[in-house]
Amino acid sequence: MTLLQAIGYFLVEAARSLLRAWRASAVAILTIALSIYVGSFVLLVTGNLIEATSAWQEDVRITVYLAETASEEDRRRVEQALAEPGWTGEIRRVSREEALQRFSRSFPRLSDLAASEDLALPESFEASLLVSADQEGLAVWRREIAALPGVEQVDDDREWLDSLAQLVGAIRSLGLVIGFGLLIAAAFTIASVVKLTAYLYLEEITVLRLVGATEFFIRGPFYMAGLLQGLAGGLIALVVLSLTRWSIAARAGDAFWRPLLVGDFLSPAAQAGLVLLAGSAGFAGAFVSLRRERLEAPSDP
Amino acid sequence: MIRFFEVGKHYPPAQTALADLSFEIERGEFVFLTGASGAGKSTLLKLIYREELPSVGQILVNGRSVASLPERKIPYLRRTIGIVFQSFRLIPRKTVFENVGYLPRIQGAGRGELERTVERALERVGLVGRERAYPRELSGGEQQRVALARAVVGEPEILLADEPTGNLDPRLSIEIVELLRSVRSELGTTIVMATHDHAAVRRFGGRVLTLSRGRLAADRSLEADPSQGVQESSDLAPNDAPGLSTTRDGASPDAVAADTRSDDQTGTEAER
Repeated sequence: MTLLQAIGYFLVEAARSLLRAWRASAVAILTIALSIYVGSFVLLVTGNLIEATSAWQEDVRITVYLAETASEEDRRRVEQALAEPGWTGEIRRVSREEALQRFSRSFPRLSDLAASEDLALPESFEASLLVSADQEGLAVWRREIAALPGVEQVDDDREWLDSLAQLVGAIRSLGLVIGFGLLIAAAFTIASVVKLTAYLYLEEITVLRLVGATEFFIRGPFYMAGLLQGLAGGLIALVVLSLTRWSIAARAGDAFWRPLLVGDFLSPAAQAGLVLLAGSAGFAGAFVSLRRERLEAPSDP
Repeated sequence: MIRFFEVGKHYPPAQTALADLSFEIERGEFVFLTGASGAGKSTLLKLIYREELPSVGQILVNGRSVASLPERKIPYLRRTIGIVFQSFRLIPRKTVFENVGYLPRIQGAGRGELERTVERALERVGLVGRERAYPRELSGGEQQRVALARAVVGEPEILLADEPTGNLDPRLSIEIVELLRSVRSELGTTIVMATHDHAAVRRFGGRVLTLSRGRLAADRSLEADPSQGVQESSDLAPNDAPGLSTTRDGASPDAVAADTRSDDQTGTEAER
């Protein structure tokens, strides 16, 4: 028998055995689908979050707020300090009036406050930070600027973006650990289902042995059944994830978290990887479950 | 074809299923294997198709030592041996065609070849036209014919039949033995049939190996008696069959008979 014929035979027999024990098979498939769904959901959300964080990091700015008492000399020194290390792109001076206009645009409901004399927004310098900026040097540089005369406060977007990136990394790790744990549990479920199915076939296995079937031929359909359950679980997980994304896109409106799910879907390589991972888990479960089983029926009376 | 040299089979702690068995079966021979329940008939057959390993001694099948055959080569030995059981061992949810077609399938036969081979086997046992039937739709005799077709589909060199008529009435038993004999004459297959069927052995005659307490009590030839075969089955004592012509091992018929009739406690426990 050629390998191709054997694979064809395994497929047919595996499909038959899955149908024969369809309830148990369905549970195994759903268990593996759940684990892959959790893993792929985490990958999708954190992937989009990482994408967004990267985009924000490319647009990160340093803002130096000046004191009311800052002199023209102080302004010149600050501007010079911002330009000096070569870590900044465009440096822009924002006057009090412009700051007020921005405030009005950003918070139209607070226009009364903006019009009153009580709101005195500080003058500032804004500089875009280049991605190549050295992290450690940047911190020192920032402290030096903060210590310059006429400087009230220095804000750097990098701080919270770095915190966000760390949080996303932690969420991704935790999600993947949970997904992996569920995958192991699913593999054990498949192992149990395959063993159960194999015992339903003991009589036939005995006949196969008697007529001279090799162990490869006897066990192949069960390994194939594990593989098929895993692949089916992986595919179902991706379909449900896609439906989740579609459903959220339809209902989320302009919610701030919308892009996290509705942004890019998992890449084809990631999708294929997840389905293969599920298939491998199914195959491994089947292999482990039957590795030490002799699969022998009771002797003829 | 089949040679046993001082073969013994023991099960722990101290049960002896077979002891000191030596005999030879030539290619194309038809041999009845008789003895009381538990005498070791099934164990002997299992040793031939390597379901069991001998504890001592040597078994040669086609010149090759069966005991020293590596595990991975056992399937290839079994492809040369057809096996039929008393309980038929048909798969209920498979059709006759599928039940018979196991061997050609595992040997990689294409659809056309599979159909031709199965058809030929069914023709041999007179079951053409029942390919799509399921075992539950067949009579006991027909089921045993399917089992026989499955055993001969690969045109084996050896056919082992373990009480193939045990579940059948005397008329059907005779039909099954006749089928086995026709397989032998058409294919030249060596046939070893373990049986309790006293009448069938007398009717067809030929070489009879008789086991008692796991030992070879008699190896003799019976003359055929076509008038036999309508009575119910019973244990065949080695010297109560008419036409006893020779004893190959020189055992005294009286001694053999006494041995066989005795309640073989050891063998009954040991046979599996």
